[in-house]
Amino acid sequence: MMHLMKLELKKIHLLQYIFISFIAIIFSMFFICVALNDVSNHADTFENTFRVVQMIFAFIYVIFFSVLVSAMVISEYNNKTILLMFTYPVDRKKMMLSKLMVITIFMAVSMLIGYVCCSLFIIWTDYQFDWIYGDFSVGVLKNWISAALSSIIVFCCLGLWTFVAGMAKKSVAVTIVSSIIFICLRQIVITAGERNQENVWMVLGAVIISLAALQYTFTKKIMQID
Amino acid sequence: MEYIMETRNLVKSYKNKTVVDAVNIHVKKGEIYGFVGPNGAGKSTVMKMMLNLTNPDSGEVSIFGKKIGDKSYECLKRIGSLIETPCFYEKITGRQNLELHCEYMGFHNRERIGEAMQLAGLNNIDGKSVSHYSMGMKQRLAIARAILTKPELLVLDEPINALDPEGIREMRTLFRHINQEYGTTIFISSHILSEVEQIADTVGIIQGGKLLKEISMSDIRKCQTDYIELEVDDMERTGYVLEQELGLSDFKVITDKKAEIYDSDKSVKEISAVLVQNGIGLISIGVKQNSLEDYFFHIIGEV
Repeated sequence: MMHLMKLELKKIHLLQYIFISFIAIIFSMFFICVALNDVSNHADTFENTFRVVQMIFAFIYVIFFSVLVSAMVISEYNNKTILLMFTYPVDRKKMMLSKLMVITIFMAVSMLIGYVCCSLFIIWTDYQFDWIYGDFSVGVLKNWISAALSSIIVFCCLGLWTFVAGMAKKSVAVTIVSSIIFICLRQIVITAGERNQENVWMVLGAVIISLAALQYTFTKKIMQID
Repeated sequence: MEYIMETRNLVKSYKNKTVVDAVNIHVKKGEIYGFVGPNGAGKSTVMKMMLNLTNPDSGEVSIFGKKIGDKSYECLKRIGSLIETPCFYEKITGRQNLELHCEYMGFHNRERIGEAMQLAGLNNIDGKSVSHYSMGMKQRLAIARAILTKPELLVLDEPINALDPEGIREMRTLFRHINQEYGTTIFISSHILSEVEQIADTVGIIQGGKLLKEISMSDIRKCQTDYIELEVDDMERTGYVLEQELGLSDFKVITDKKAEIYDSDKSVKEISAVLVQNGIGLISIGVKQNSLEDYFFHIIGEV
């Protein structure tokens, strides 16, 4: 599997995606800065500020995930390179799994770095300008870590859903549009809860749905090349 | 007879339309098999089923004596292929594409990449990404990729498409070379019948999803009859002279200047002498032989 993943990396210009990820982090920091500096707003809490980061990340990274799915999976069908891939003496499901692993690991690491950078940025701006209500403590950090990890899992699941949607029609447009729909769906689901963020059940639900949808796609859709 | 590749009653339908109908193909080890048929005859679909890219609705494919199933990946190591249009990862170079191919195929002789590129006539292209290649260059690169691992079986779908006449001749020589040098069995589809005629040992003719005929080229040549083709300035008088003066009845007027005589009683010398004596302007006359094209249209016309 590692070998297949390495081969997948050889096909794409990873540097270009690392650059996009870097820009996404800068954009998120800029957005946080603008939101915190808004004088019409009262000083916000650390928890609310982190939710803003999560919301920005939902939009950026789920769409980014769908772009990678389009570039690494759907385009193989559209450009017919999948015909070539399937003439190799390699298990086709493993081949597809390696692509998804590369995308998911890349996105998870990007989000993790993004969360670390944005969290440090929030702490630093508060230290410099005292824009946030209350003091930063270990308790806040613990909440942030658990919220970040749950959202990384959920965003990766939503990203995998875009793969499932895209594979249904082998369409880049469907993949990208579905990412926006899934982000909106996530917003609707979390706002129905008390804390405006994912709880354990939501994370578990997203994982179970993802596994079931992937199982269906791997069985029914991968070999459909006509 | 043992076949390196065989299909038995292969059937495939798309949206209730049967595109491949009970096709039985038999490819002998070491031969070049020409698979010919008009566009939409089902050639590519048959080839996709051979390579396990599409599952047949019924029937089966055997390669190297083993039935192809969902998990038959190992036999693909011994096959080189080019299906439909040549596809590559366009952002990387041709050499990188071939390196990637070696990695997936588990082939570790990297020196062979240069050899294959040279054999396919690709020179001075290092550093250029595939997106900058012309269609002919891509076709050559696809052929280089197919032959790279010295496969036992080559499955090539219209491999000379997009090549110029020189390129076609080079590829013909290349296919013959790898067939004779490495004993590679080649299954090649093409709509350029004259090319298939020049390299194939056996020909399969497919139309409307049905394999109409599977015949060796030597058998076709036995069926091929010689005829005299003549070009004259006055076909009306020529017809009269051929019938009345020479007593010929088995001839066909092709155009108002061209005719073909199938009667073997009279020689070219006799016919031309009589035509000239009757004041007919003889532009050209000579003995010709039916080609694969004639045989192809004869078979297709029978259906």
